[in-house]
Amino acid sequence: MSQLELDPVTAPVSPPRRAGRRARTSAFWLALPLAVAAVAVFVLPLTGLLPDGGQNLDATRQPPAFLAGGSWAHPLGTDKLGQDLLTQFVSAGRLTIVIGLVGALVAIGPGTLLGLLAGYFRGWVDRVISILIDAQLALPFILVALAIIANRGSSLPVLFLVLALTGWAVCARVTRAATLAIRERQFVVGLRAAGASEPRIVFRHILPNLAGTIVALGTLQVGTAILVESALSFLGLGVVPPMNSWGSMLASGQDELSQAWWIAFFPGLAITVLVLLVNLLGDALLTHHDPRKRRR
Amino acid sequence: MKASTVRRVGGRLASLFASLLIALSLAFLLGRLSGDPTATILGPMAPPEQREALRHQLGLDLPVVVQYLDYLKGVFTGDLGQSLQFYQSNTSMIADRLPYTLQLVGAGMALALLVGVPLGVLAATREGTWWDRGASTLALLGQSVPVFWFGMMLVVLFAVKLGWLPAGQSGSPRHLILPALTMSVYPMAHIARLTRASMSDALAEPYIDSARARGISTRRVVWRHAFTNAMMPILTIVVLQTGILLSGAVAVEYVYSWPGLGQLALQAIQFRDFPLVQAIVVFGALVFVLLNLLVDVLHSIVDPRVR
Amino acid sequence: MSVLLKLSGLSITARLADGELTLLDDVDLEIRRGQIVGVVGESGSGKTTLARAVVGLLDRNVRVDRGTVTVGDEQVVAPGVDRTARVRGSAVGMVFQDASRSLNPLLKVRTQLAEVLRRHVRDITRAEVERRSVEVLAQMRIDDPGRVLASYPHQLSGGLRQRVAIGLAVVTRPALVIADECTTALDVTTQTKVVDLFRTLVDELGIGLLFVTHDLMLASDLCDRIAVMSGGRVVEQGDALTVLDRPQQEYTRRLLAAIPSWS
Repeated sequence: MSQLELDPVTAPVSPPRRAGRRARTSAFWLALPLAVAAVAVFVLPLTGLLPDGGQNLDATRQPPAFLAGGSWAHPLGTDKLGQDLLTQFVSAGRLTIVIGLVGALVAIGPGTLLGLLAGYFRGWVDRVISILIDAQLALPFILVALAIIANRGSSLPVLFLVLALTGWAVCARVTRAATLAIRERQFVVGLRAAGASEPRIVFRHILPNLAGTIVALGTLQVGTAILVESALSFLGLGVVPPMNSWGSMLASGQDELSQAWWIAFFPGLAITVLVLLVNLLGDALLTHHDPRKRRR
Repeated sequence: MKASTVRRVGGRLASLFASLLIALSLAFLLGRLSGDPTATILGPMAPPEQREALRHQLGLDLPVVVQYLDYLKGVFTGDLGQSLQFYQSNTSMIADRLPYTLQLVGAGMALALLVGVPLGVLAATREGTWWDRGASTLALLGQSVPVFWFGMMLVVLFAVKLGWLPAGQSGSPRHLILPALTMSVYPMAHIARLTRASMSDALAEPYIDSARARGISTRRVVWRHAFTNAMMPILTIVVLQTGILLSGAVAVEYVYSWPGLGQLALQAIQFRDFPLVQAIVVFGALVFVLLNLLVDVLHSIVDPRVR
Repeated sequence: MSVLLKLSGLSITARLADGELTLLDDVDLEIRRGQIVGVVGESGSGKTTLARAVVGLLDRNVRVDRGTVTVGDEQVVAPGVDRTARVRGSAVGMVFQDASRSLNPLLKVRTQLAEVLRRHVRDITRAEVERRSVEVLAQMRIDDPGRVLASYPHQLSGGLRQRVAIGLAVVTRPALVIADECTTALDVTTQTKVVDLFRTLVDELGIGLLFVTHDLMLASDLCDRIAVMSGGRVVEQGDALTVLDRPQQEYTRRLLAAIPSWS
């Protein structure tokens, strides 16, 4: 055959791959405001700059400062008991962010573990885990979640249980597929041939290779967790008084829509912006890790 | 039918059935874990003999295995038990509420498709342009906003401030507008993103270039050649989203006091009416399995390769 | 002999994130009726860009800087001008690299042929569509056109799909056919059959064929004239035998030297 494969000199230079660097830069610019917001909700209460959060029945349902009738004493206005909404907003944001992070961890942890096991050991382990993944992805588990809450009542542990139950499967599916691919790669075959122990292969060699994907999935899961939490808290099934999250602020704002719409407006806007940034960041990380596997 | 087809269909049915059994068992388990329902019904002060009689009447004194089999038999004969709260058959209550939810889901999904698909196609055919960036960001925004909050803000704007549309309850088509719009946000965003990804894969296929080289018009290449090939994932997500909305439209129905299944579920949870909660979970699972089957049927209609 | 295709001074560049890349640089080429012209070069030499420029299938970031493409009497490409839609599929048919994947998997062969015919033949009747579909498949040396017409692409063998793809390019009776690396993915036996088929088509229909390949031996076997490309330029052009026997350019000599010799 006369296949022509020669002359590197005349072959045009292929353009340098910049996609990776660009994704890294955009990830940084997305992560920055998130970090600032996270620090702000924890630091602000310590500064003493926030208005007093107590009741004041002389100043109920005050609009935010930039509307007619508002004042800078209460930048975001007050609720029906005259409590300052900015103070509530900051402390609720703290809980929302914590729930988002922990909620993602409790979903990603078991998801990764099960995906690794299924992908590495295959056989019946894989079959059982795959059926569970399919069942989870094919069934309305939000209803099951509601049933659990009906059963056990609303509390943070129950909320995390629900977040874990609803979130693990996506991560497990991706990890399983990636593990299946990696275990056939030369270095793993070599390790097995050299007699490395299986836990060592799985956790010291395969897991680090998946780290990028898992971090990206975990980031996206933070957004999902915050949205699920806000919906449950809105229905009075997630975070309930005396604790406060942005979702539960929406619940108290629901009854006040006609008189004081701003009570619900700012927490909802904050959730939207936060989740949007988290999703953009997750997409950027996923693209950076593997440009072909963008989230659908 | 080829042997491979039979095997594939069989395998699919088996795994769907397994999923259904898992969900049914979970629902049963949740019902049993909830403790003694007689306390809920008769109140904590009821004398033990009376509670014993009720336990017998409800079949709670039978072995758990027998109860489980009875429960499964009930599920497959359409008997989902009795509500503790309403003293009615759960099946008939679900049947009463279902039309409202169907209205809402139907209108919401139609809207989601009408906007989401063209948006996704627009982004895919102009990949890398500002159109694409705009459409994609809009779609991601739709997946980031808490939809019930979006609904609340619609109420503030269109019902409270402008007074154009009613804020709650059902009835006239005007009552449907805001809830359906709210309902459409998430699936619209999901469909748009998926359509973009799926279309841009399809547009990169060699047969698209070939069709263009044969002089086929751009519109026909995009819709007839690329879109039909990109359609399967979109159909899948439409059907599955419909399932999620049918059982999970709780928050939207709550915002608009819409008398559908979601509200019923919420009432059941708030009153700890476990048989009703269980019945709604079972109903949702059945709907999901049926919709999954529908996806498979649609797939075989669209794609000759899987017939 | 009338000129079917004429490229004169065609220069094309691609705009990339970090500058411009010249894809074609001052390319001249001509094909006449009944002639087979081979365009030979390694990957990245610009031969595929050349083929795609004629039917207007260039990427969005690609621009014609200088020169023209003329099909028949019509100038279809010039800087800022793209009238390729008027010849695409009618005067010019194209067969692609991976011909068996150039069929839409969801449509029957009959539907795909009918689509092209309806597009290019005004007021064609249903019976006429069927007649010409069968006719073109017979021309492709397909024994049972009826079965092939009623099949989906995945139900056909690779060789059959290849011939259907060629049939789709010639069913509208174009004067010029462009084949872009369309034998690369094939095994040697099928490749020989396809090459024979092309030769018969040229002889029977009197079309012109632009045969783009990286395979110099194959090109010399099939083509009347050969243009050797490298780095976006035509470095040598001439009668096939002349180019092979008395290469004027160092580059062509090296290409030839890379061919394993049997003697």
